[in-house]
Amino acid sequence: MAKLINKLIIYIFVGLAFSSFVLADNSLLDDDALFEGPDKDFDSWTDDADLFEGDEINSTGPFAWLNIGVTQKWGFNPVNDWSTTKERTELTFGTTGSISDTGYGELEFKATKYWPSDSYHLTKSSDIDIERAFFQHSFDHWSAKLGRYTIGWGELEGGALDVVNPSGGLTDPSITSQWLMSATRYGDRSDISVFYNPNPSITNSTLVTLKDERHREFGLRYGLNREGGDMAFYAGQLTPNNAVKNLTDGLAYASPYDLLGFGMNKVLNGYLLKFDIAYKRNFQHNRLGQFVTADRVDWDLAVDIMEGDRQWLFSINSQYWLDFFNDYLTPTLLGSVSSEKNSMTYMANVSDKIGETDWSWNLSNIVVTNNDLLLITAGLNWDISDNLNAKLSATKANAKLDRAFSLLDDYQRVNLEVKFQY
Amino acid sequence: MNRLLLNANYSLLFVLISAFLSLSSFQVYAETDLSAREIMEKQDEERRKSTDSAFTRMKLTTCKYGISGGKVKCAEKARIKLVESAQINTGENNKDTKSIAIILQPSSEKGIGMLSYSYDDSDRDNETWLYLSALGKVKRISVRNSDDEETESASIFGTEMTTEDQETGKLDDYTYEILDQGKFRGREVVVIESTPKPHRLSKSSYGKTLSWIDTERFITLKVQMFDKYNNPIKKLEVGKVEKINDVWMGRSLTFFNTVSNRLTNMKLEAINFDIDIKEDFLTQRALTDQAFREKFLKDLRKQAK
Repeated sequence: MAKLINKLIIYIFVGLAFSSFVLADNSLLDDDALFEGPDKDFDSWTDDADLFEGDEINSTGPFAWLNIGVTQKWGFNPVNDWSTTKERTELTFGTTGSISDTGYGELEFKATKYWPSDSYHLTKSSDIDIERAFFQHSFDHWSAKLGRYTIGWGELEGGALDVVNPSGGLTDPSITSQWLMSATRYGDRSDISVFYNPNPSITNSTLVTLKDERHREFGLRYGLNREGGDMAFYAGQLTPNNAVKNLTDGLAYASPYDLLGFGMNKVLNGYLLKFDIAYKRNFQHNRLGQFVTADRVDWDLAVDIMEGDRQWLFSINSQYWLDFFNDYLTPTLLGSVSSEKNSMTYMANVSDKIGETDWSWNLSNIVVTNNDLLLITAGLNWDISDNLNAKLSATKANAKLDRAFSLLDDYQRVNLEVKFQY
Repeated sequence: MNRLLLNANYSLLFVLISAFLSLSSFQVYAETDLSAREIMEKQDEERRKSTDSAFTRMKLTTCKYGISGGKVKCAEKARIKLVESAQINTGENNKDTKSIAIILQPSSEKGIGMLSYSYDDSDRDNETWLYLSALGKVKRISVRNSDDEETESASIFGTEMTTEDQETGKLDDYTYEILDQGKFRGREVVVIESTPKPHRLSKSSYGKTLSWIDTERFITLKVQMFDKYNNPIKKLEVGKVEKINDVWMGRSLTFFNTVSNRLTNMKLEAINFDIDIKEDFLTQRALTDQAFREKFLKDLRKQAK
């Protein structure tokens, strides 16, 4: 009998085992204990019920049409007792919106106040400038845009084809808008656009006089959008964003060069591959005792990896002189150094959020061929609210004294920026 | 011999009891004639109806949450975004989706647009583009998921919603199993477990999801997401269920990140179906050509009135 009871117990267990997952799963139909309170009675749940109670948004506040921003920037040099190198206040105010049925416009003014401790205080006066202003008109397959704005060429920022907008260089990659005219014709998964710049911005050292030849630049881009990747062909006559010092007459020049280029991106196993190549003809360059034009091929290859909030970017950038001579020279502030036939730049960049907070960070490392330059940048960003943001960044560079980047040797900066936007 | 027979009879009885217990457990599955896959197909079909030629204005609220008075509330100042979105179904059997979402508020993000193409075919990866106005270019977004349990898809506009949460179709990428059926919040539901197939698992943030699907209206009332180690990480709760233009849908979707205790609530402030949305509008041109975009949005707003 005891055996029978044992068997009975075993069989009941077997039966329960078969049914146990269902019994356990019955809890799936119970609501979680997430909500503890008087309203936890889900039997009285109706279609109109909602678990979340949010605040109302005020979308019709005063001056909702006006965008106002105030930015305070500080820069410090840790090498020199943390002396202040930058202290400026920027006030931006602007508006955006439709103009007629087929037009759209944006207008943004920026007033900058350079405080006495700012290194530009003596050379740059506080002023009001138009930061962005354009009118865009669209009809059928065409769109025309006139004003001050930026045009993005190429896949990689700072790469072989990112040649239209001047930027602050390696230590300040932010780009500057320019006065442009452009027109685009949109097709089915393709577009063709042309632009004209009557007065390109040229960055030049204040120590060297720029020979003003009032050059123009223009370009054409034909883009094709395909599933899993895009590509574009480029052609144009462009003005270098940075003037080149002529070592024979001591003046700076920025004469136009011709460009033919191709850029593409492609998704492969979740990696976004980017590639740009550009043939640049008639680039001005120094040889021993003469100022010549030469041809160059620039290319870059990058891989962009996004995993959740973490984003990696690895890139290789090459500048290759096609008709190279051993007496090619690159001017520096201290004189001139010999040029490399092929100059490579390697970059690694990573950015991420800090946990589930409003903080994020980024780290970037740039290395130029033969360790001519090693530049590291680290940043911390705090989105305090939808209106308030703070950024802290630190940059350190080491460069070989007998190479092109010698000016950046032992460069160190710590920057703090606080921005309020309404 | 008798004893053996008795034992055998007892054994038979107990087997029958066991079988009854088992069958009584399984009988819940017999209550619906539809398989898990068929229910998911119907749910997908309903969801597709809610995206067909739809123009919506939604409020995205993101914050750390707490419970107060039985309601979930923000425990900190919430980040609120006002977004307009237009979408159509397209492709073979209208099973692909094209959509664009544009931020209206806050002013610091005004005008940021995201274009998405979602394909039903498992062999076609969904596509997303963002317009970066400061750079004057469109950036293709590609998200790579690894087997890392903490890996997540790309967040949509910094919210707790990810591009994976917004996907439709690709039903062939999962296996489905009905786990339970019965009353839930006053509605007849089935609880379906969706497990990504190996090729899908490598692209997904989730190891599996459980969906509470209303078997009468075929809308999802709740989704529980698990990581690849079977830990619950996220939950979607659907509220304010309404029938709009013969389509049942939730007007308030709340995504709870149960790891970080943050939520994003998506409240549909206005939704309009059967709007004439031209496929030409849902292209990269809508990101780069603001005049074109505004003209279409104006037209959509007019139709929506």
